[in-house]
Amino acid sequence: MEKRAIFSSKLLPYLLLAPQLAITLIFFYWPASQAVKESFYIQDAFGTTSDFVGFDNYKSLFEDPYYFHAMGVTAVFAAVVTAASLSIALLLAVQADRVVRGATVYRTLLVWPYAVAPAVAGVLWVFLFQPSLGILAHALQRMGYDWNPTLNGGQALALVMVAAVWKQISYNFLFFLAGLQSIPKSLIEAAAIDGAHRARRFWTIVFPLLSPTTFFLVVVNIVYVFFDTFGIIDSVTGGGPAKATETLVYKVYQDGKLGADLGGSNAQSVILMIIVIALTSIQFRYVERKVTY
Amino acid sequence: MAGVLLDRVEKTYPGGFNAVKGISFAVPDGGFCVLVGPSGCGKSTLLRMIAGLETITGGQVRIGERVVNDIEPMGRDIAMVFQNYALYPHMSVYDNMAYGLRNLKTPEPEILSRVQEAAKILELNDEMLKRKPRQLSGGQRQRVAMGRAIVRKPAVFLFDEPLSNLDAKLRVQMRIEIRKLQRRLKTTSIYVTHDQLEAMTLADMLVVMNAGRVEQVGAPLELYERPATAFVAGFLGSPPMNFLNGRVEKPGVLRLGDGTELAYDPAHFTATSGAEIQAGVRPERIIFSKDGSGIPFKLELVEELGLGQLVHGVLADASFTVALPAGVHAPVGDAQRVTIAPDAVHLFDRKTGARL
Amino acid sequence: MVENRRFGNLLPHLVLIAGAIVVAFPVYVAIVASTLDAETISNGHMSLLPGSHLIENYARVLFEGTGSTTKAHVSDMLLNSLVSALIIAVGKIAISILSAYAIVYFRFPLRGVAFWLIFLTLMFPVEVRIYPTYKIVSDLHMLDSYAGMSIPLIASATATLLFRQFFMTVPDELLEAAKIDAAGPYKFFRDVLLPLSRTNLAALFVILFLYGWNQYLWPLLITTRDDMQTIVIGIKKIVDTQDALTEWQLAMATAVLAMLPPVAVVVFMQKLFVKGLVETEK
Repeated sequence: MEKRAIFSSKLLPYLLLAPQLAITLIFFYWPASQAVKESFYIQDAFGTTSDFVGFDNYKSLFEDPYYFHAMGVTAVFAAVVTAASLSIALLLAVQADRVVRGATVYRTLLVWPYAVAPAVAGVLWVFLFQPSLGILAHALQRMGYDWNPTLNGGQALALVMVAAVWKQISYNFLFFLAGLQSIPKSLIEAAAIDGAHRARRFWTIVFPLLSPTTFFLVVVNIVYVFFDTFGIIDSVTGGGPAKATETLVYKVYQDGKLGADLGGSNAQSVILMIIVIALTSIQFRYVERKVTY
Repeated sequence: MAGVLLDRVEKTYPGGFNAVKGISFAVPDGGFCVLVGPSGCGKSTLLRMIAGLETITGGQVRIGERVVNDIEPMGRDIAMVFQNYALYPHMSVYDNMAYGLRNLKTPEPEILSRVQEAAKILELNDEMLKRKPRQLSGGQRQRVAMGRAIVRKPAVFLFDEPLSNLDAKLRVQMRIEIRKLQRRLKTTSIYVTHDQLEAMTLADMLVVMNAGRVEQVGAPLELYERPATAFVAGFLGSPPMNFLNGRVEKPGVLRLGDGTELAYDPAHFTATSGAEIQAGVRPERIIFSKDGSGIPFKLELVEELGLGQLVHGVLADASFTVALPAGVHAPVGDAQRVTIAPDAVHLFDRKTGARL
Repeated sequence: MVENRRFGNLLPHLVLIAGAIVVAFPVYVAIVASTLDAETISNGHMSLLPGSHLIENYARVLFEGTGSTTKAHVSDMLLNSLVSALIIAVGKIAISILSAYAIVYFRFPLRGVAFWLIFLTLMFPVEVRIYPTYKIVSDLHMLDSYAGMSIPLIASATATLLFRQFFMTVPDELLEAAKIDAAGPYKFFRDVLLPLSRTNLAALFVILFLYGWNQYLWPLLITTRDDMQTIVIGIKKIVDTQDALTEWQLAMATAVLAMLPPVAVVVFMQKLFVKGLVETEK
């Protein structure tokens, strides 16, 4: 798609593009290329020397059990959060689509957590589940459950997931609701005339028609878990206990912190880049018209 | 005030498509020229080249004494009315009309008086001037688009199918208003349309285009009565001219496809015997014969227009329409005969379409 | 709706109300906690009814600071958050609308290259290049500055793509009419395109303001001084104490203050928010 009517200035378009391109080159392409380059070097602790080591950083990464552990944590985290937040959001969206009166009120009541920063969301949930004084922690303990996420890795991961799901429901809800509202009512009515009951109508008509939305949300949620949950993890567990909640992104941060293992951290960054490129490419299949150029 | 002269104007797009193929004609100062033709014939492209919205890849466009090929639209002393009006949706009607003048640094009092003058001409009241375009009806928007052109007091008005977004009734009304307005302002105008009726009624000078070329230039009635090509003959007039294939038997006599004879006026055509021709007859030049003479016509359908009747049928194996004025009734029964006066028959070369 | 049974109409309301309560619960507890005293919370038996220390707690965090790892006042943090969020939102919009204008309304050599350079930045979220980016910001002496907090985040493909898409829907005739009305690239942009983009600008502003306000990893890395902290960083530090007890009533007051501006934006500008969210993801 191209404009027929255009201006013919020679210099102006470059001036208009200059700010964005300058920032993009300085803060995106240059660091990204540095990450790739430095993933092939080892620096000493003071950053004074730097030796080319080929794929050694990658090799040691794949010999590091903690790296595989972080992959596992990320995968479980992504699967659970995506599944849980999508199902809850779909359930709520279907109900919101059914109510005639008060739909906008419900929408308001359900979308605001989107505005809460992940780190702040983490703090809210930490407080509820703080083993010695949290309200919900006490409730669990009264039921005889030995709740202590600061010691129990599984419980820590569960807590991080709950906070992540809580924050993500609003986003998924909005997109599901928009998707549901765009399904022509006449289709549902046709199915009703064909004798399909509500549940059957949902699974045979509505859900298939929602599948593009669902697919899109699955990708977005995976990206969310990869990158945007950093704040939640950092405020809830700090990756602990014993790296039980350390995701790939969190590990990049930890390993590079204070220049400890910059080469390794950069090698991890490069692998993450490859994952993001893969995920976004999948996403663009969905939004192809945006890329037609 | 200025005339417009086109001299072998060409438009070839970067992809190689040749949209306008060497067009030349002159619009006299104060004239109303209508470019008409089927869609894709290059008429809009030509107009946009005169406006400076498309580059000219060959030939010259002159407005008044100046060659404007390389002058920006704003420097050409023209104003344009677009098909979709292209009003600025966020500006009031007043600001829409004033925008161009402001960009030319016209003093505000001058702008005010010009806008008010234009509003008066177009019967737009003060209250309407304050509204946004979306609060206006289609006809009112059309007036505002005209107003925007008028306030500029340009040497040339360009109209790009300005009435095609209006309903039929309003279209007729606005057509009359545009014509009156142009008579009053005496501004040279070039008007593009695909509607032959609009073209006939508006033009002092009609330019019929087809496939990037000019078919014929002249006064509307001249084109109607002496079309230079079969294309012009078929394009102008509603219902359109009837065409019959045939051969020249001898000067003054044609032999049609099914063997029927048709007489024409040999004084007007230089057709040699044996030439393959297309004969054209306007529907209103045909009468039903009551005495059994004339050419057989198989009547199929009668359309009642109120203003008259259209009788559709088959003559010499071709579909054929006869237009009857009000008060004359179509005969009953499907086997009829019609008579066609020799001076109503136009002859065209069957291959080239040129008038013989 | 096809069916109209009484019971069938009640169920969705029940589910939605339950959902709304569960979603609101953590925030409700935070608000209650921010009105209690330290004692009530730390003995582990806080109730779900507000206490009487609201003004005291909020005044303390806003203007006096806490006994935690950060000594900064929350009022300063709020200001830092506001300034950096505004720079990010306005900066992103400004550079994106200009580059989209160049790409849509001009033809020039390397246009395709420029488009792809911008487009591919979608592939490099800050998280995958944190340390090299940190090094550049540090080399440019932009640590602990609003510029350092915001400029590396303001180049983004999404905003540019949004404007590009919107500009494509503006009829060609509008530019042609403007050309005949003697408007050049500057006047057309200022008088026609910008006013027409108003709703898009506002919707994008809402989304980007939230994005800027809620930044965490980046400001965490590049701010070392207490007085440059944003509130999202600050809250984490208020929870972290070197020794002994977290002052939860203060932490929760801070959390409430941290949520208030972005939540207010979403609630009161819901239409723009939804539009922004949906459009930027299209």
